[in-house]
Amino acid sequence: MSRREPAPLLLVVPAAIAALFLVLPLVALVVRAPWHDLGRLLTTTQAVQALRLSLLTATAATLIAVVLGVPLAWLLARGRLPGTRLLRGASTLPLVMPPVVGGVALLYAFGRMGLVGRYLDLWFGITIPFTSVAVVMAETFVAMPFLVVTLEGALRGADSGGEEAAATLGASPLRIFFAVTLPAVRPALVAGAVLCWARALGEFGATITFAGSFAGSTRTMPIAIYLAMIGDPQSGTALALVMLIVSLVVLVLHRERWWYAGVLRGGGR
Amino acid sequence: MNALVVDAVVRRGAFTLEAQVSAGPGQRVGVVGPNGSGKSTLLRAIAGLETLSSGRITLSGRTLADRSVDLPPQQRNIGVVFQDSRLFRHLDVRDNVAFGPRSRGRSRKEARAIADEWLERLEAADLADRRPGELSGGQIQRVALARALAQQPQALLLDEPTAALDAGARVEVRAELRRHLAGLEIPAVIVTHDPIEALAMTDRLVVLESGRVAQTGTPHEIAARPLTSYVARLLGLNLYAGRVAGDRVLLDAGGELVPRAVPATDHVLVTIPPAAIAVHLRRPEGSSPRNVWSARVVALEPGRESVRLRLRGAPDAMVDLTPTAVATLGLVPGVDVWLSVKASETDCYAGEAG
Repeated sequence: MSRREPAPLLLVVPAAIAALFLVLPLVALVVRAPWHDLGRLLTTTQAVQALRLSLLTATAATLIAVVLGVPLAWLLARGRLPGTRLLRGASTLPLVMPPVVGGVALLYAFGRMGLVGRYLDLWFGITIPFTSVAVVMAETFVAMPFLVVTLEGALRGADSGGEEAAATLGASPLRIFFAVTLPAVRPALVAGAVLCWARALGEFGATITFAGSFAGSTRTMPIAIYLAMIGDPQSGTALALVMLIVSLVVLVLHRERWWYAGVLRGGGR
Repeated sequence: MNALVVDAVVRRGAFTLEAQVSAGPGQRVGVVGPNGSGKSTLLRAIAGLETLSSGRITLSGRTLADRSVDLPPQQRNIGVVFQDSRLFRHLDVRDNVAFGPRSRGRSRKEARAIADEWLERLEAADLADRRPGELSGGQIQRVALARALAQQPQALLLDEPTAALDAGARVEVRAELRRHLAGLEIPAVIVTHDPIEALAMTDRLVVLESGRVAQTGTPHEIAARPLTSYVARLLGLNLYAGRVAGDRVLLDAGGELVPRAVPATDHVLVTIPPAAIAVHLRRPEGSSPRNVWSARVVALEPGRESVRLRLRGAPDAMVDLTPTAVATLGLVPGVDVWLSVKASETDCYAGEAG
């Protein structure tokens, strides 16, 4: 065995504080959760509505992110068009932007007076803000970049050998994309989609700004928790506990990578 | 005529490939050359993975590329076996082989039937349900060949098909390829830097050096009279360039040789097999050999049946001796010796230093 020096205290102490700081609040939440009353608190109409809405909208946002974000990632990774770098910057901006700013921006684009929203209202009578559709849009806006960035990195790093081989076998560019390129980056696609879903599930700022907080239609879990903590901390805590559990499940599944098993089995060379 | 005719110019930065290759139906043309000579670029240009700067490629009379045409790989109908196989890891062997027919419009069922047929033909039917990750290096190349052939290509390209294999598998795969290629009625171009592969698997050889064709001919012709030091080294021949002066040749690198006969030209090449050179500790007296010169041993490389000596002198030489002779003479690096070779063991022909 190689010789191991003991870690210097100057590193160990801040590391321990950091770890404690991250874990302690979660422990506190679990300890103080109203376990005796959990069943009742989580079956109230409000709670069920919020949880259902959150799961539905986060899933819808992830599906949209996959359908639109995968081609975008491909274009950013492989595109030879001028302006690709600018496009990459623009499409990853929501990663670093405060979500509430995204919400305001969405209002100015799709609100009744917005750049696009005005005509949607005028011509089709469609109003997006403060509807469930607005929730999905806000979540997609904030979460899609996670998928795009993850997948773009993988596409960029992927070896193009398989694609060339497919071309010599007569596969059209579209078939190459679906039959060769995507399977090769499947782990990154799954990871990106999971990240995207988790981010969408926790979305708060853009959602409350663009979609508001209407029970049953736009009041997602994070908003419901925030509101509950003001009036009824017990039920707020119960809802928070549910989200914590959902996050843990996602984390564990991600770590175990059970969905990669097929790819790993076929791996090797 | 189902011939492949290539006259390719590809410029990439400071490198220019300018090569002509043609292969008739059933003909197997080898392209050999050192790393960076443009072999792979040539192959990629034929396959449509590299764009010609100028020139023309035709297959069965159809223009694949020239000044105004540049068909994508999909429309060239040329099968390629890559050095690193490039099998699709997420598909099993059957679907890998079925990929071509499927891409060219066959139904999934038909494509799989075609794949099974080809796997049967290449004696790989038992591998059909495996993933590429579960195959040995030799099996991988067999599947890669099946995949390239299943689309019924009009020409076949092989890029160093055995380079990624270990020595044992290489011998086996080479024999297999040779057998399978022999039955094909389409032109085949095989890029390789393996001399045995080039000699064993091809009907004609094209030697590429620095992007240009340095020599073409049958493997036999090229092995007998190499024009480039690269090929001579591959074949393990001593090759010297020089100028004729009467019945002797003044070597460019120093020293002179009296060959069996000199052609009626100025610039010539002389080859000497390493086993034809004798090694002496003292200058041989009353020598019948016409060529005697001194040299110093710089390296010994043990081979399977003989030891190869590398010697510095005028000229330098490679000499093969039996291990017994090496021990008897006490040869180690640094020892000064005399070399001799009979004129009848040398071959002299027209050619410039390559």
